[in-house]
Amino acid sequence: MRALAYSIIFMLLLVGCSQGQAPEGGLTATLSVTTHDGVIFPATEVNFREGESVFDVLQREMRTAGIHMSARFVPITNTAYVEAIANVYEFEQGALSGWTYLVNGDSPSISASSYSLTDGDAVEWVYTRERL
Amino acid sequence: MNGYNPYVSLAFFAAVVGFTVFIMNPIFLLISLICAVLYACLLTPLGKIAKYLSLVLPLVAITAVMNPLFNHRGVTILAYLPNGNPVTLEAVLYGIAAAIMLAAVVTWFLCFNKVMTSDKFIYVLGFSPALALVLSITLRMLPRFRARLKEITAAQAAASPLVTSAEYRDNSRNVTKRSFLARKKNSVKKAIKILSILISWTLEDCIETADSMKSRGYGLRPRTSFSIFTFTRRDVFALGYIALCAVIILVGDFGDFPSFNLGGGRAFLAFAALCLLPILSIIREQLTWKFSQSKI
Repeated sequence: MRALAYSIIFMLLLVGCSQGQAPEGGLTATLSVTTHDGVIFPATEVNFREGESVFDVLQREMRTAGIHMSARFVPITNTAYVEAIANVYEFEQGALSGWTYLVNGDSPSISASSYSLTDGDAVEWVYTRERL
Repeated sequence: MNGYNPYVSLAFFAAVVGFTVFIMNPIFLLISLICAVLYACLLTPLGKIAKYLSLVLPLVAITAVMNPLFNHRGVTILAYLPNGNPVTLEAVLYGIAAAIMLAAVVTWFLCFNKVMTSDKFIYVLGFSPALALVLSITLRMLPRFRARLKEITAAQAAASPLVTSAEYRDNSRNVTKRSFLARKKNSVKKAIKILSILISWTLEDCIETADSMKSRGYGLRPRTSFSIFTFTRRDVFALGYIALCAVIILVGDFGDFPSFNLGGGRAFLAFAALCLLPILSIIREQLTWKFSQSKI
């Protein structure tokens, strides 16, 4: 019974934690999220703080928009990996399918959580079915 | 399921556990859990059930809580974890369902252990007497180990050469003086000693068992094993009942995670009928006993 009580308390603590909202004014970027056959989040102007990564912005915007998104975290490299947006998971369309991102039309070869945004960047998250 | 032919008992448990695990429908799980607990209460004393619950309930709770922490699928977002991943209603419900499934299966196996005694096991595995023998010896090993461990520990505590009475008096007078490491070392020493006794006892016992079996002529050609089990009309009925329920359930249609399809009422009734079979059979036996008593 004690284990049950602890797990409930643990659960409540987790639920109680919340994240900050989008910063007002300052730097802006354009964010869009599309799958192979539809648009999840049309291109929208979003605000961000200095030093925030592509991943931070995606996570915050998806949360504000109430869109499901799930990420995995790799402690050793301190990076995040987007495994699903709107319940569209990696590997659903074959072994090479998954979420990837483009900044100003290019695909950076580093993790989205390591890529710091600059003012006016256009970020596209796309669900790819083969190597880009 | 106690009075039935072991094959019938085995078929019953296989069907019930199989349907519980493979058709992970919430109503199925509830039916399964309730029937399993009722049957377990009829088979074992309540004290044992309470002890078992104190072991199983925390496990079940942990299973229910773990799933939404690691599974983020689902469209109904309830909250967010500190790392930004969503906690979904679907994942929470799935976690609860998985926990109930776990509890139900464990309870069914508790009943299975009570019903399928080693003679029944050997009968069921009649096609391979060697396998039956090995399995029944292995399955008996663990409870036997536990009993012996208790015995050895008691004996060692009563007359331990590792702790003399003088040492004990010293210890109890100034416990803090002896270092933590020294105390740990002593307890590890004791544990190793107990383990060594347990192993040598068990090995010796194995040799004795083997010798005894050999001297009684185990495995000699003209000898056969005797089983008291017969396949009666009652077994035929029970087997037919299980098969009928299984067919009705298999014809039914169920949803798959993350959707729940609550259609197919016939399948629920059939599954409830299947799970209640041992309880119904116990009630029938009791009634028969009552009526035959009053006639005398």
